[in-house]
Amino acid sequence: MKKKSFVLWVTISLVLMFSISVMAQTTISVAWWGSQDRHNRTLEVIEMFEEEYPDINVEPEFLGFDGYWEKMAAQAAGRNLPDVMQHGYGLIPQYIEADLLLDLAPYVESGEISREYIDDTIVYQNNGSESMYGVNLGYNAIGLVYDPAMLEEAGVEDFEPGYTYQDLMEKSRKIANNTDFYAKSSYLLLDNIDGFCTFLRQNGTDLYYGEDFASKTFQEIEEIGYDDDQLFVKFHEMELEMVEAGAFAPIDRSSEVTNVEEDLLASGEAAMSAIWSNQLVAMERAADRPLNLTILPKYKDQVAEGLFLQPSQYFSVASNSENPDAAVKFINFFVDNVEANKVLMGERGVPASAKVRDALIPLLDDTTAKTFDYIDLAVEHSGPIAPPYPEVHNQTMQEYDNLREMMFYGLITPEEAARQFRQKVNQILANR
Amino acid sequence: MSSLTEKAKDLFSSKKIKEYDNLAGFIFISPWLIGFIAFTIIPMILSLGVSFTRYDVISAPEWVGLKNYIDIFTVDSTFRSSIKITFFYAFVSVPLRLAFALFLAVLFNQKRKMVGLYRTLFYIPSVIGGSVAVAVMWRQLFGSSGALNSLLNAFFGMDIARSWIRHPQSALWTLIFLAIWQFGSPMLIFLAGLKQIPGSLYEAALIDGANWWQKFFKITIPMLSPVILFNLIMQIISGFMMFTQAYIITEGGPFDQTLVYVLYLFRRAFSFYEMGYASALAWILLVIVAIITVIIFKTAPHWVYYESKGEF
Amino acid sequence: MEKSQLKTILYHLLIGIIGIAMFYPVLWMLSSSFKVEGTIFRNAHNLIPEAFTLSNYVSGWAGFGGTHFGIFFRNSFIITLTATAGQIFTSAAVGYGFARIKFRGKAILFALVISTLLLPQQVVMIPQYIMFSFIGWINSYKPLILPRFFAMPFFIFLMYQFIQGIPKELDEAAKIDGCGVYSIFFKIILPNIKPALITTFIFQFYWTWQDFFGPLLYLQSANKYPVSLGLKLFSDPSTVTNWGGMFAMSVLSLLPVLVIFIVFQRYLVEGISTTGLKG
Repeated sequence: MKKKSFVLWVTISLVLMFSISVMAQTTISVAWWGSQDRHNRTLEVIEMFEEEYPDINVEPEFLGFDGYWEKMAAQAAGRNLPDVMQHGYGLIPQYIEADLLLDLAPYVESGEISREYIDDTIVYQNNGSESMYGVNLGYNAIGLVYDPAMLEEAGVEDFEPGYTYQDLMEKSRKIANNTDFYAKSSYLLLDNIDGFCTFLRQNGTDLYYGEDFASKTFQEIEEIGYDDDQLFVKFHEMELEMVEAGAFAPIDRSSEVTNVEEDLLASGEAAMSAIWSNQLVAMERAADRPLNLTILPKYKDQVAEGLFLQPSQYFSVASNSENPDAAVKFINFFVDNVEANKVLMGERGVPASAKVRDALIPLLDDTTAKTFDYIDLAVEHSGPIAPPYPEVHNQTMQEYDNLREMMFYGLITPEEAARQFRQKVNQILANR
Repeated sequence: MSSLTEKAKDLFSSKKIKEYDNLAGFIFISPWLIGFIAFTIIPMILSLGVSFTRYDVISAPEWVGLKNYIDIFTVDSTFRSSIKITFFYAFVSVPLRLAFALFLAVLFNQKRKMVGLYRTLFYIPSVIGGSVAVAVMWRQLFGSSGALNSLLNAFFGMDIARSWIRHPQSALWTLIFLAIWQFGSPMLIFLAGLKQIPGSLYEAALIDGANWWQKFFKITIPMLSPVILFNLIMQIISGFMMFTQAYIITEGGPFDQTLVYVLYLFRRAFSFYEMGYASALAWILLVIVAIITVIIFKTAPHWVYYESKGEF
Repeated sequence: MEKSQLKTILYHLLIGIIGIAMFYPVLWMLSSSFKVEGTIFRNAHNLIPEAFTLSNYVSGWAGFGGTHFGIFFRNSFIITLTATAGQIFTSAAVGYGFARIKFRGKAILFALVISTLLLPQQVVMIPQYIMFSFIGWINSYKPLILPRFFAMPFFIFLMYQFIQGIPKELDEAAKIDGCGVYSIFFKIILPNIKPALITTFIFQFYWTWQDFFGPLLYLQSANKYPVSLGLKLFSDPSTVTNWGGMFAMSVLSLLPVLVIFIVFQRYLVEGISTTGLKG
C-alpha cells in the first residue's frame, strides 16, 4: 500500500512537472524567404536556439522569394504576422507606417540586443525619433564583378579602385573590339534604378532627399529630389552610347536575364556585370570560373561617394507579437552567437558583428572570402546610406524601368525621358 | 393527346418534372448555394466595398468614394493600354487555341493504335502549367540564343539574335503561342463531348453515304455545339483573366507591352499596395467580361443545338 | 498501297510533326533535370546532358532541413484527392439542378454562378484570408479542401452543358417507369455524363495539385506544404538557386498528374460507336 501510494505520488508530481514545463513553453513563429541553402542553414540555427532556450519553441515559416510579400500582406491584413519576420530595406517603411513593427530601440538600450556588435546604420530615423525596427542580418554592397581572364584576353588592364566611368567605357570598347564577347549587359551599372541612384549620389544629390538626407523624413517628401535633368540625360547617354557602339549587349538580350545564373557574365557572353556582393556566390558558381569583385566606377568630378553599405535583410518583430521578449532573444542569438553564425556562414551578407566576422574569416571558402574582402574595400569608398525611400518607391521604379527600356528601343530621347520621369515621380508623390 | 388530359395527368402525378419543383431544385443546387453564401459572397462584397476605399492591405481602409473609378477612367493611361492588350490577347489566342484543340480532339477521337499515347504526349505541355520551369523553358525557346533562332539559322541561314520574348513587337505573341501550346484543357472537354455523341448517328450517316466532311459539319459540329459554347465562354473568361504566364515569363515587359489586365491589377494590389484601386479594376473587368459573356449567350440559340434545352 | 494504309501513315506523320514541336520544351526540362548542377544554363541547348547525373533528384528530394519531398507529396495527395472527390459529386448534382429542374429564381442564381467566375481572384484573396483567419482555419487544410465540397462554378457549368446534351425523352421514359427527380439523377443522368465526370476528375485533380497560391496563403508549417509550394522554396533570384533540384522535383511532380490522365483518358475514347445514349 505504501509502495503503491509512493508510485502514485511520483507519477502525479512527474505529470505536474511535465505539464508545467509544457505550459511554460512559449512559441514564436519566424518567417523568411530564401532558397534551399538558406532554408537548411536557418533551420539548423533554429534547432541550436531551441537547445539553448528549451522554454522557447520556434515555428519556422519559410518560403521562396516568389509569394513571400503577398503572404505577409495577407497576414498583416489578418493581423497575424509572424513574431519574427525577415524584412528588406525597401518595404520596411510601409510596415512602420502601418504600425505593424515593434520598436526595438528599448531592447538595444537594455542590452537584450547586443549593442556593441551592431553598427549604427541599423538604427534608423523615423519622425525624428531614434527608433529601430529591424536588426541587420548582413551587409551588402553593389559591386562590379568581372572575369580577369577575359580582360586579359582583350588586352585590358585590371580595374583599380578609383577608376571612372570614362575608364569603364574605354575598357568596354576595347573588350568589344578585341574579342567576340560583350563588355557588359546593356546597363551602365544595374538593371534597375539603383544604378542611377548611385550616380545621383556621386553628384551630391538624391532621388528623393536632394542634397541633405536629414532635411526631411520619407513621409514628408513631396517631389523629386534632384533639380538638374541633365544628370538623368548624362547617365543614360553613356549607356546608350555603349550599346550603340556594340560594346554593351543589346537591350532585348540583357532584359531576358531574371536571375544571377542567367547573367551574360555567367554564360560567358560578357566580361563583366554589376551585382550585389552577396550574389557573388551564385554568380561564380554559375560561371564556373574565378571572378573578381571591385567597387563601382567614380564620376570624374564627383562630390560624394555613390557607393553605400546596405543591410541585405533585417529581422523585425511584429507589433502583434505576444512574445516579443522571446522574439528578441531569437534575433540576438541569430546575429550574435558565433556557433550559429558558423552555420549561417554569411549567406545573408557579411555579419555586422565584428566578433562574428573575425570568427568566420578563417573558415570562409574562396568566394565568400571575396565578398568579405569586398565589404572591407567598399567601406573605404562608401558614403552614408540614404534613409528609407517613400513607400511609393515601387511605382517610381516601374516608371523608370519603362522609360529606360523605351530609350533603349529608340522610342524616346533621354531628354524626353528625363522630363517624363520627373513629371511621373512628382505625380506619384502627389497622389500619396 | 389533348392538352386537357395532359394537364390532368400532371395534376395527378406526384412526380412533376415539367412543373416548378422548388424543393428539389434547391436541394440539388444547395451545395453551391451554401458554399456561395459561406465562402464567396462575403469576400465578393468586401472587395466591392474596398473598391471605394484607399486600402494598402496592411493598414485600415479609408473611404474615398468613386475616386478610384474616376481615376481609372480619366487619368490612368496604363489602364487603357492594358485593356487593349488584353482584348488583343483574348481575341487572338482563344480562337486559335480552340481551333487547335478541336482539330486534335477529332484526330485523337479515332480508334487507332497509339492514340492513347499521343493524347498523353500532347497533354503534357498543359500540365506543366505556370511553374518557374516554364518561364526558363520559354526563354530557352524564344530567347535571343534560343531554339527558334538556332532553327532559323540552320534552315534559312538567317542570322537573328532577336529576343522574341523581350522584343516589343513579338513579346505578346510568345504568350499567345504559349496559350496555344497549352491547349490540353479545351481538348479534353472536346474529347468528352465527342464521346457523348451517339455512335448511331454516324452509323446512320454512313448508310446514307456521307463523307467525312459531311459527317463533321452535319453531325459532329451541331452535336458538339453545347460543348463548343462551354469552351468558348470559359476560354474567353480565362483569356481575360490571363495572369500567370505573363507574370512568370515577361512580367509585363518590355515597357508594359505585355501588361495584361489582371497582371496590372496584381501589380497595383501587391507591388504598389493599392488594393482599393485594384478592386475597382477587378469590378470593371467583371462588367466587361459579363457583357461579352451575355453577348455570346444571346447568340447561342442561333448556333447551339441542344438535345434538351434547360428551361428557366 | 491501300488507301487506308496511306491514310494511317499520313495520320501518324501529321501527329508526329506537331508532336515534336509540342514536345521539345518538355524534353528540355527532362534533360535539364539530369544535367550536372551549373551546366543547366551554360549548355542550355544540349538536349543530351554531357554528364548524366541523378544528384539533382537526390539533392532536390532532400528538401529543406529534414522536410523532404516525400512529405510534400503525401500532403498533396491528401489535399488533392479529398478536394476532387468533393467536387465531382456536388458539381454533378448542382449542374443537374440547374439543367433539369424548374424552380423559382433559377435564372438569377445561374447568372450568379457564372458571374463568380468573372471576378479576378487576386482581389478576393485578401478578404477571403481575413475571413478564414477569423474563423481560425489558418494553417489547416480546411480552406483548401472544404470549399471544393460546394461545387465550383466551372464544373457546374460543365455539367450543365453536358446534361443538356442528354435527350429529355430519357427522363420522360424514366418518369413513366416511376422514377422521381432524385432517381432520375442517379439512374439516368449520372451514367450518361461519365465523360464529364472523368473530365472533372482530371481537371480538379490537376488544378488542386498545381495550386500554389492557396497553400501559400493558408499554410504556415513546412510539414503541411504540398509539392506545388515545395517547388517554390528552391528559388530566390538574389541567391544561389538549386535549379537542378528544382527541375528534378518539377519532373516528379508531373508524374501523378500524368498517371491520372493516362489511366482515365481511356474512358474518353473506348467504344465510341457502341456506347452512346443507349448504353
